[in-house]
Amino acid sequence: MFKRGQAQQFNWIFIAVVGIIILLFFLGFLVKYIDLQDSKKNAEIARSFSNSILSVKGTTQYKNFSVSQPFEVDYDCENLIINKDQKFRMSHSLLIDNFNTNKLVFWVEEYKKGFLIDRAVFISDADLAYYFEDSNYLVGLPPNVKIANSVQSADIIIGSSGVDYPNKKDIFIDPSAGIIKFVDEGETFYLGSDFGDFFVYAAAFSNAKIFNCTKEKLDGNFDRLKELYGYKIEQISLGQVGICNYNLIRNAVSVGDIDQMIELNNNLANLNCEVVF
Amino acid sequence: MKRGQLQIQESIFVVFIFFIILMLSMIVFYQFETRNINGIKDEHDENLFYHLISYVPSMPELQCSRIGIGDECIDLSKARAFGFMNDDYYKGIFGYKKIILEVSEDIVLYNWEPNTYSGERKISSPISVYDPNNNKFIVGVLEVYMYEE
Repeated sequence: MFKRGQAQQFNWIFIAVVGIIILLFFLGFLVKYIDLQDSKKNAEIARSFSNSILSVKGTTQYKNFSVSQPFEVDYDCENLIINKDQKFRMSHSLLIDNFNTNKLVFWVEEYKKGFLIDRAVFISDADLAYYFEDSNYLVGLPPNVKIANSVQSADIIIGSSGVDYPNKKDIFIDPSAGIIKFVDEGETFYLGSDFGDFFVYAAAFSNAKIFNCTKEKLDGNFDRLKELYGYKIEQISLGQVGICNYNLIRNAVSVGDIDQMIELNNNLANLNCEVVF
Repeated sequence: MKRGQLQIQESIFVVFIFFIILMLSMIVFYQFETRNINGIKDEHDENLFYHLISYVPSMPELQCSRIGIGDECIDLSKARAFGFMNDDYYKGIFGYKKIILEVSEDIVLYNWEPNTYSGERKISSPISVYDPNNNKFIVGVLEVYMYEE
């Protein structure tokens, strides 16, 4: 069949083909293996990050989180996503998504509308410096947030002056008019007057998309809790007699009139009646 | 067949067997690594499960409060109301779980059962429960069940 020269030629072709196949096979495996190792690393970061957040979620503490390698954090309004790979559920999170860091700070803030609506997790790159024109807002911040002393040294500026700072994230707030504006994103939110510190921090530590979805979720929680407190009022009013009247607070809760809810709840407390919240 | 042809066939056969062994060992190794990742995820799910026992009493839907200040107890009237709510929103938070508050009565706070499950795991913890109708604190037991698929 084969002559000697042909057989030798065939041997070389055979070795070359097999060699290339082995090489490609190893390369393919190497790529898959690297992906797998990345995925494993991301899963470990996600687990460790999630555990750290969960440990502060039920309280109003703060924490620092750091890993050796920088990682990317995104948020789809429901899940925190590590390096576009591993995700874990953490609703009511406020962060400027798509940042890449190895040091994060996070803490939990309560959002109240008369009664507690929920606790939101604030997450920030530890290297970002914040400048608040109104220093009163500094009181409510945890000590692990980096505060800039001047506009020049800040990455994010929160104020009411309306000055546009180029190359910086700029948040315009007007509590009396109920306006929060993400200047560089061109998004304005009308929240009603005296919206409280929570939304100022929410704007400072997030972007327009996350701010909006978190606000909508918290509004949804408010509606659920109104229903729940309505049921509670029904139950406690059955056992109360005399001066303890729950009709007014029942109406205030059902329409969500916060000022009146708080006033009527305080009145019930002053009368030694069972309070609603 | 000539000797040269036999040698070539032998080489092909050896390479073929080598490849099969190599592929099998790599598949096993890959699966082992994938299981490692799933193990990390399972560990995370388990942490979430254990976290629920401390998270549930601190939920605004259940936590006691007086003039807006939260307390470390479950409000019995809120627990009863929560049991009736049956809102899909909580399925996203708890998943396939059952949460029961045992006081003088058993209040099913939440239950979402998968169509099929192999078993269930349970953790429980004593908890202070405030009854606003009687203005009394009682001891209850909070039980969290995880359905295992």
